Amino acid sequence: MVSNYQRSVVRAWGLCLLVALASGCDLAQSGHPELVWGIHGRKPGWLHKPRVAAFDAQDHLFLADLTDRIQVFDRDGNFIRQWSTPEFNVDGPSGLTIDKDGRLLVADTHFYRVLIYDAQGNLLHQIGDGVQGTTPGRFGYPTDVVMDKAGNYYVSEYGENDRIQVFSPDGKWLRQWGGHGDEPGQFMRPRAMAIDEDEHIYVADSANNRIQVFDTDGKLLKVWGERGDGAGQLNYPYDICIGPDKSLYVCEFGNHRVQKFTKDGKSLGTWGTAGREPGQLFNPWALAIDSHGYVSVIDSNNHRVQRFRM
Amino acid sequence: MTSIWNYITDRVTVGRPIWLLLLPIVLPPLVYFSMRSLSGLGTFRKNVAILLRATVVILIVCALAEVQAVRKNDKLATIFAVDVSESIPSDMRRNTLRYVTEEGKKRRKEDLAGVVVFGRNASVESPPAPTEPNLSLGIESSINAQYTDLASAIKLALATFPEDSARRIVLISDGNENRGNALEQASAAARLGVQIDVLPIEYVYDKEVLVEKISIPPDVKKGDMVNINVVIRASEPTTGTLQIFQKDSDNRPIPAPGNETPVPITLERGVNVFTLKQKITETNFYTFTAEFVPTKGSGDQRSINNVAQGFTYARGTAQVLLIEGTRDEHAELVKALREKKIDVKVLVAPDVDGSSGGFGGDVLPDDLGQLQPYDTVILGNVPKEALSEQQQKLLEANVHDMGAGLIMLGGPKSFGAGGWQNSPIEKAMPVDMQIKAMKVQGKSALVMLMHASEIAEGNYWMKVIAMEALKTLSSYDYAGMNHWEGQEAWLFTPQAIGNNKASMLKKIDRMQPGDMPAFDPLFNLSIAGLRKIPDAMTKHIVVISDGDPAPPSRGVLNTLIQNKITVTTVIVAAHGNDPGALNSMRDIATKTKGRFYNVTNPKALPRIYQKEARLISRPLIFEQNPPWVPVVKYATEPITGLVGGLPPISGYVQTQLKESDLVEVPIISPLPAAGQVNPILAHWNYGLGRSVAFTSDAGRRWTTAWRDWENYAAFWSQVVRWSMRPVDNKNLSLTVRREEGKLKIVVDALDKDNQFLNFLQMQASVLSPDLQAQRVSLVQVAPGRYEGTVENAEASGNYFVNLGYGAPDGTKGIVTSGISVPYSDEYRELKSNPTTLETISSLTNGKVLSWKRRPDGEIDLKRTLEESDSFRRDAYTLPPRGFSPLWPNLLVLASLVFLGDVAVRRVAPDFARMRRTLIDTIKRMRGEEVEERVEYMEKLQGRKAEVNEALERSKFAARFDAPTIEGSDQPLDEPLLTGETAQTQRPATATPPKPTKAPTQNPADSYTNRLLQAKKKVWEERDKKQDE
Repeated sequence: MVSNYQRSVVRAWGLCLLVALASGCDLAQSGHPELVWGIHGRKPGWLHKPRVAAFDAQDHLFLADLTDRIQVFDRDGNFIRQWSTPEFNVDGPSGLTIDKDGRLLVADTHFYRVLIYDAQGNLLHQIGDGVQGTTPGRFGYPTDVVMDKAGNYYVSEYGENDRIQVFSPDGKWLRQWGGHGDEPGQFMRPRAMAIDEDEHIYVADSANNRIQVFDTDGKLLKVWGERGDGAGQLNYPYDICIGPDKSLYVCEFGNHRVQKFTKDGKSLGTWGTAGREPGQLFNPWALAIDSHGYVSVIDSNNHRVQRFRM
Repeated sequence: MTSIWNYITDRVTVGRPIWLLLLPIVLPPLVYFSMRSLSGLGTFRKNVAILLRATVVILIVCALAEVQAVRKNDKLATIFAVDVSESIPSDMRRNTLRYVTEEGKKRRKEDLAGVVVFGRNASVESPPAPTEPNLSLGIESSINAQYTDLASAIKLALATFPEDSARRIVLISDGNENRGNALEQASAAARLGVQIDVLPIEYVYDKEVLVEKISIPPDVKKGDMVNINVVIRASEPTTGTLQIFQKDSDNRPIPAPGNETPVPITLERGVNVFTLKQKITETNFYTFTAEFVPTKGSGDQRSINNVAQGFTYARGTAQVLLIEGTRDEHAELVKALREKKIDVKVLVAPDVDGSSGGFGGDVLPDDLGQLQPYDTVILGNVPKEALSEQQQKLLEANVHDMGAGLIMLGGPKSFGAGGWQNSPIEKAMPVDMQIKAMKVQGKSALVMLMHASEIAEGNYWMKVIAMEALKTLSSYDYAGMNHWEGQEAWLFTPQAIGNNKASMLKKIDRMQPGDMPAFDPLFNLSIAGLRKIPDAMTKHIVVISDGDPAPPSRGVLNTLIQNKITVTTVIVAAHGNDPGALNSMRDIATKTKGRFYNVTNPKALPRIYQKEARLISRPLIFEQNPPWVPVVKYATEPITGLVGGLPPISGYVQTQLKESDLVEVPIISPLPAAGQVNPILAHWNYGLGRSVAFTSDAGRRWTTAWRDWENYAAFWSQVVRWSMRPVDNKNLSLTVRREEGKLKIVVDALDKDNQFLNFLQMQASVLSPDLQAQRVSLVQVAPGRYEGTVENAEASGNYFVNLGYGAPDGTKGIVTSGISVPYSDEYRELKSNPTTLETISSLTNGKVLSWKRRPDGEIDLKRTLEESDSFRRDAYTLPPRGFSPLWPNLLVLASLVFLGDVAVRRVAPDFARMRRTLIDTIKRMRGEEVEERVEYMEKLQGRKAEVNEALERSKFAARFDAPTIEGSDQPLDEPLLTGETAQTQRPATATPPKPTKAPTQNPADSYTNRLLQAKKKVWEERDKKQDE
């Protein structure tokens, strides 16, 4: 026979369970990641301050960290293979893009060039002669590469000259725009770019805390963002991606969060707070979106990757 | 039988055997009385009961005697003690490591293996653990290999052993101990039951040549031709060349003049002494090195022991070293001193840049020998960062322990304005560089902006520089520090250093700066912080960065300029020499009027931060126009005899007098007129030497009027001469010898007439190569002879001995000498010493192992390993014994046995019935018919009924009422009386009543009623009888 006391204990436990379940559901809605992976270290499959990543069509994640490695993982973070860039001093590459042919476009930042690999890590060719410079065709610190439908390369860079340079598919210099400054159309540390099906180029102008939109000729179409941590405000946007839902996902280094925008710059919400727990980020550098529409955010200073959906 | 006894004694021990004496006392009476009292039990039960009782007593006595169980353990812990000192030939060192790695694999599963490595010190390379030690990658412990201390290795191994296992040390060494006493430790090991196996490493340097020492007269004169005696020991006759080198002004060895060509020599077996002549050309401190070069193919294996060093000092006129901050800044002073026959050598201190040292300037002395020619060192307007910490210590020791003088001249880069607070030089000065309760005229605020996390050991260097800056700033200055920790943040906001220094340092210790994306936010934070300090006259930011963050915007730079905030940028080369980063960092510094440093060696960082902190913290300078005249408070020795007043001065660096009776302050400044004494000239005796602080300068900025002062040269020569090291007294001969790591100092004291000088007070100060001073008082051991010993003279290098003496007549003096230890004692050994090791082994019943060699002489590791077993069990590996008390178990057992004793006495087993039951059971199991028997319980009930009947009968007999009459309805079952009385009163004639059914009792009949009725009946019957 169950005594009154036992009954009340059962009730109390039941209540606790309910509360726990309810709060669990709440967490899931408010930003609990679906998956967290990554071990800090330099061994194959481990991450040492990962800074940039991109998914290919098979949902393989290509990832570069503070070493000279480019590592390939499956969607769930299982290590597949790796290779090294030709030279290394302090930092690894800080820009990775998969083009429509599945090639990997690597902004080899500290060697002033863009490297183009096939998916297996064979170096196909490079843009830029590897000499630092401000003349057309040379780079300061290249940060990201995107490709338009015609196969032209758009390379963003910072250093003495914060600009975007355009190269033909065979690497010939075509044009450039930008310049160092905070006027519209100028850049301070353009960290990343994304290009949509209308061939609009979205630039994460990180130190100006804004997103600038250009057409392929460099004509400024739109600017939004100011420094702050409110909705629509930005704090060092370090990466930008376009999801299958045509929304823009911006990774904010300074606000430790991912913010979702419409293509017109309307904020649709944020994910992540500062910290080291799951669902929290510490100076994230980049994000990548897989074919399911899930965001894998590169939680750089926590040396890990978190996957979630917004 | 013996083996059973051994078996028991191996497993059980008695803590207090005296209690066992109780057994013969208690047991016999117990048995005797039990035999009598238990005689009714039958023989068998009686014997069992007695046995049990005796057992109880034995158990209790055993508990009292503290019987303990002995636990044994078959575990063996072996520690390999490996000699890694310099005397071990390198191929044998490799073999030893391989041997230990392979031998460790012989470990049984439960065994532990550990490694202790040793030289001068011993260290646990791997603690005893159930794993195989792996030394294939070399030794990780940091060992001073200059000496061998077998004892410390054995001692450490003994301390490292776990308690619960048998223990063995395997000692692998050449047996040449030059420190400690190994046999003493081996005896200790033997007492502890620890076995020591030894594996001697044997070698013979049969053709070795040792340059034992070089002897030079300690005191020579310019122009002398001195004899340099070189003592060389050879183990075989051989040939070679000998040459003498001396050190040049930059401390580099060059062939000594006159000895440019090596002299061919022939060595005989044993000690050879060669004398080489050397001309002393100038007054200087000489370090001579004798080097023997063997003829090719002579077989001499070690070249490190072919060199010896010695030094001497040729004194001449008094010599002074002036180190100045800017070249020719003290030209007038130098001229004046030279006029007064003081020999001055001028060196210019380097400025600080991003390389590890400085740029410009001269090479400053960095060993004590180089300072010896100078009787006084003058620091003229030199900032602290121009001298390394080591050089500062050297100058301090030169005064305190070598008796030299030290003078600091004022200037904008001197005293507190030169950042000299908290330095060894401040210790030596008669003034403190910081004024505790000064009315501060202008405070400075420094914000350090930290972003160096990407250079090697970035966090370490950031902590070092932050601490240096805090040390250099005055306590009333402000300091703040910010960095990027995910976002821009203050580590601490700008605040007065004063009492906050400790908490600031704590915060710096916990700093974890991240990778800052841009300078703007941190500059904005710094500007906001600095704006909140209205009373800071100087506002300064020092940025350390790899230059990678986005450069500050024009707006931020303008705000910095408008707020008069200067910014110094320090770029640490993380991204190579990136021109973009360099330009942007340089640009920040140029626009804000700060300084720019490109640091290629992080070691330069602390001095840069000292300089930066010093440059902003200069409220200690007091300047005023028109100039004013300083006041002579009283005349002391350095200024006696100067006629006329002092010329005016227009500024000086403020300092505070040390609170010591030794401090004299003959000249002070009347300005500023706030309460405290403002020293211009102060001096005191510091240790064996003297130091002087002159807080104004020597004729350039603040004392221009002094240059034309008639007494200028006299004043300075007197001050300098006062501070100089006193001249040696030639009557004392000081000899320093080194024996077994100790220095023996012997002084022979004679007066001019060669008579012994007795009862002198003598104290020697010995500076070791690492500038550690040891003091020793010399004791007179014979007429005119004094001796003292200094321990721990082990390191190789120069030892300076400075002897201060005082005679009963009041005369005092200083004598200097020294000795050079060219190489460690390890290189003196020419052959190994297996005897020591064999003795250690025999003391501890260990084995002497040996290296097996192949026919070609190489070590055969396989065979060596085959013949050794470091994890063997033998008669001497004493397994450790653990004791656990048994008394609780004994007492529990005793109480159980006692219960058995009770049971034997109270329960009589019916063996016949048991047997029957058993037979019946077997029959039933076989399916046979079993004879019906009256069940035990029924029988028991029947028996009870019988007993009851008998009792009834006796009851009736005891009652007063008459036997029940047939048909009577009177109750019969209530006894009136029971026991003996009832029985004795039973009438003999009473007829036994017939068995009746137990009548139902009428509850209404009370006992009294029945008694009355019975009484009535008795009377009735009596009446009836009488009637009859």
